[in-house]
Amino acid sequence: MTALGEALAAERPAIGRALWAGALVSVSTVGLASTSAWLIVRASERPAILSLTVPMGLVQLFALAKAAGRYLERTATHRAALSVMGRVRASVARRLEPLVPAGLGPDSASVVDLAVRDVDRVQDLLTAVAAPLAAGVAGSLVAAMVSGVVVPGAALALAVAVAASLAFALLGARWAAPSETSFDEARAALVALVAEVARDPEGVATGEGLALATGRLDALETERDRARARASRVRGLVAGLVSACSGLGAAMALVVTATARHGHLAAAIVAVPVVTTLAAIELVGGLGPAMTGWRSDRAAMQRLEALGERVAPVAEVDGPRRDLRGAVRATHLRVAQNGRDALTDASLELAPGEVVVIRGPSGAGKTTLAWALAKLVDPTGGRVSLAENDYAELSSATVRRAVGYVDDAPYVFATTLAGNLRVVAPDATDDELLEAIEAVGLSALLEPAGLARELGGASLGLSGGERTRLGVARALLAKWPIVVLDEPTEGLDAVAASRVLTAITSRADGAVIISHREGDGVVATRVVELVAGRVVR
Amino acid sequence: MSESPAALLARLRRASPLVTRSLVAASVLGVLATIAIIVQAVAIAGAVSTLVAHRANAVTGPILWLLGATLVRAVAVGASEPVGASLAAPVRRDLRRRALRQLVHQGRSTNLDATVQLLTRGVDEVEAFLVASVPSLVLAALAPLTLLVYLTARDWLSGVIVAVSALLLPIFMWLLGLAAKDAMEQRWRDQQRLAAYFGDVVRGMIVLKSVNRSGAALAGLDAIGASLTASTMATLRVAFLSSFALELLSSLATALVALVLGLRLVHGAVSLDVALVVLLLTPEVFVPLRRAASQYHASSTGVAAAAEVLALLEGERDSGTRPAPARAPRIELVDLVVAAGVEPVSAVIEPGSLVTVRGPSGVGKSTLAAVIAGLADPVSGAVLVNGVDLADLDRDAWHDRIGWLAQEPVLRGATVRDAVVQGRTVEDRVVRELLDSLDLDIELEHPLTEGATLSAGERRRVALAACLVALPVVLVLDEPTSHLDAASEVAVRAAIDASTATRVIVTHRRLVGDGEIVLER
Repeated sequence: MTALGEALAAERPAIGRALWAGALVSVSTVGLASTSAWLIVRASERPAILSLTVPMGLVQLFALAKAAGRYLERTATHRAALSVMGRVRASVARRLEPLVPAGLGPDSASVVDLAVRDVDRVQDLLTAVAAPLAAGVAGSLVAAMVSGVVVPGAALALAVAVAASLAFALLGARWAAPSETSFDEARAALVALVAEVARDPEGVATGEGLALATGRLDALETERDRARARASRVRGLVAGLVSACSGLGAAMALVVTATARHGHLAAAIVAVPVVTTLAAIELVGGLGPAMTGWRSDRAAMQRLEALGERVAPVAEVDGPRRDLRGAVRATHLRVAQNGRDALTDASLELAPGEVVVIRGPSGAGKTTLAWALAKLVDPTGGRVSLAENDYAELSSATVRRAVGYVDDAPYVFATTLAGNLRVVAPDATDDELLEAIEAVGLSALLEPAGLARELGGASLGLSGGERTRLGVARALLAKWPIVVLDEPTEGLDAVAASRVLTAITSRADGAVIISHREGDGVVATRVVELVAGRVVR
Repeated sequence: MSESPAALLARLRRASPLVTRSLVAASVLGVLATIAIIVQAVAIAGAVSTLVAHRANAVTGPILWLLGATLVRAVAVGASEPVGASLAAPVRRDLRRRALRQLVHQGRSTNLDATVQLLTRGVDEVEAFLVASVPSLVLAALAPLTLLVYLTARDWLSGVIVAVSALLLPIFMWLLGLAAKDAMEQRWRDQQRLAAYFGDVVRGMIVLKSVNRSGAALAGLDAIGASLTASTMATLRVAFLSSFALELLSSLATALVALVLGLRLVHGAVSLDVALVVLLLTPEVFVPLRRAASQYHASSTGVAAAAEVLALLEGERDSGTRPAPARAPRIELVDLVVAAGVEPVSAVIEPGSLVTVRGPSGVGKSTLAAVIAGLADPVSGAVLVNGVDLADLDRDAWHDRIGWLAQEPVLRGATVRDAVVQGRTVEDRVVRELLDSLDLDIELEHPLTEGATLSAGERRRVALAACLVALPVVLVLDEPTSHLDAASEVAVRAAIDASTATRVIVTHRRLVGDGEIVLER
């Protein structure tokens, strides 16, 4: 069962309440329109005022019920949507957990980013698409019943008008889809261009770079505008057609009523079919824009489902969490990544007290080797062992108590500096945190708020070098016996890099350091060179 | 919410005169659609009262009127979005173009993501504000007024009832807003924090896994989800109160009008025809108000984004107008101080000569290079180019003629060729020769997309090739030979020597040149 399906099933009572509230809105909208029209026409026949008491009471009742129903419907729909989204969030997080980082393909960060944004669309799907659709259909049914009781043919007129406006809304979404796609493509290219410029404004400023960049910007904007113009013409067409449905529906209702009036339809109810038709169209009228969103919502849900079909890179082993200490040994490792062998034959031994630096060109399999050492990916050949115990027989938890891993782009949580460090060492004292910060040369971050300085979030980003060092500070605090660090000197100048390396090597029992810097080899007891998945030296 | 949409619109109109056209178009189409609504109502009322009087054959006239008005309304409604989009597009392009220039002139930003967001989504939000929010705001002002005037003319008593209900609305909203404001803002912040938790858990999963805490974090998601729902609902309940108020006023006005008309009809004080028109039009008064209210949230993000974009543009600085040199210029540094605590430097760099900049680490060598390139302002003193103060030169033209190599060059584009050519029309043969002369044996098609697939030395030489290919009149190179092995260094120095530009080179190695600028603390 799908993540969304499960969440919907679990929140059935909340969804039920939302649907009932929606039905109340539909009934009272149609009720208000038809009873007030009936009241007026009947009043024009000058009956005794007492005979109007019931319609007058109904008019007031429907008016209050419509407003109250709208409020209940909004709150109930959003409550249901939020609860469903909460469940989808939790289940997507559970699906992602075993996949991170090796099971998400070459660009795992953007897969995760996309998943976060896709989950946010659940709310849109339920409140902006599903709820209005349900309300529109329910309202139309009520309206068709009311006007059908008065003039049977009018129900047909109403059904035709409603069906036509729904069909136009759906067709519009389909017609607009190709231009939406090319719009999205132009927009993505535009984002890439702006990011490129923002990364290197000086380089763009000089040597005609600005003229070239604005030229490319203009070309992309033109492409984007062309797609937008097509899409907005389609949306305009749909809005026009839906509006026309309302007028045509009213005209059809009038014609049918006129025919029925020939056959002695009571005068007092002649206004009912036309006003109920207008009320029904009012209820479905807002669907045009919702339908445009529906296609991208559906694509988002499909991407979330696809996450569930990815294969976990580590087969989990049950068993007690053990405290093992000793050498980590990889022998003749072969590891497949993204459909090819990232490692073909890698052997490496790390005895306690050793510092191994792994070097090699990009794509040589350095990161994959680091993952294998931290049991973040299972080898397809060869083995890794910790104190002579094969990783295949150890639980991930056991391995990670002995072998720590710090990735090459350490994540900054949207919390304080202290919170960002305590995430790996909940019991660390402030002094320990300060010492780790000092050791990696991040003291500048203590200004102005000290450990309470907020990091992360949109406006408080850290530079690449600061993130790298935050990762190293975490490694110091986590106190792993052995630590594997992916590019811990990336983005640092020579002085800062040597400080970071000294901090690592003076504290850890054993360390594996991936680096492509020439100078980083000096701290190593051994330098290993990896080329095309093979240890060559 | 720092600024009202109306105030923002005024600022936007000052920033871009094209905005006025959007406003006029939205008004014309809005009024046209409203008039069509009135004609539709009159036609329907005419048809119904005819039917009540049992003259069935006479409904053809009103139905034709109804169809005609339907056509006009459909056209006005349908034209609104395409017309709005085509009028807003030039505004957006103009804003983005200027914002991009401003970004380039401002130099590196502290927060890359936020800057990129501002120029992409931020500027798009301004457009969305013009296309979606502005017409709905215009309609909310014009349509109810048009309808009220018509209603009052047909039946003044009903006009008064509807007008009073409509006027109650702002008072309702004001009271609700007053009661909710403080609590809303605090809750809003809480929600943002809670909502960020999910993103944090999945994006930071590897950190959590490395210390065996991912399971606990996943378990925490359920609790967080529940409290997020509770706190969001508390906010939404207040927010929906205003939509409740709107709905209540609208439906009560309809009910009240219907009751009063009913009583008056019984006494013969009003004709059925008029009563029906009034009844049909009463809800229409509130429709544009409701639409504007539902646009309010969308418009508030647009307003915030637009305010930021406009703030960026208001930092636009005027460039000088003196023409930039077309040939290698003479550059003079006059008592130039590029950073606090550095001794002022004075020097003359003759046209086409090569001068090196040396000094201890962190003394501001790179800043000096940036100042000469016109990328940064000096603390004091001046740079004269052929005797003209750099500040008086046409900034873009000066930048165009400079070849700038940053200390950490960024390669732009998907392949090595893209990075060198940068959209210029340059033959592959020329690029190849240039790369060969720099001792670079890489394919032109070599991809740059997957991060550091080139060594630091290779990246530096590709960036240098991008500088040289434009044939600049001034070359400002920050550490052009770092990360290079001996053979490449020789090639790079030969290429630099071969240039006829006025050259300023920051280096920590001694180079043979025509002069030397030494920075000291």
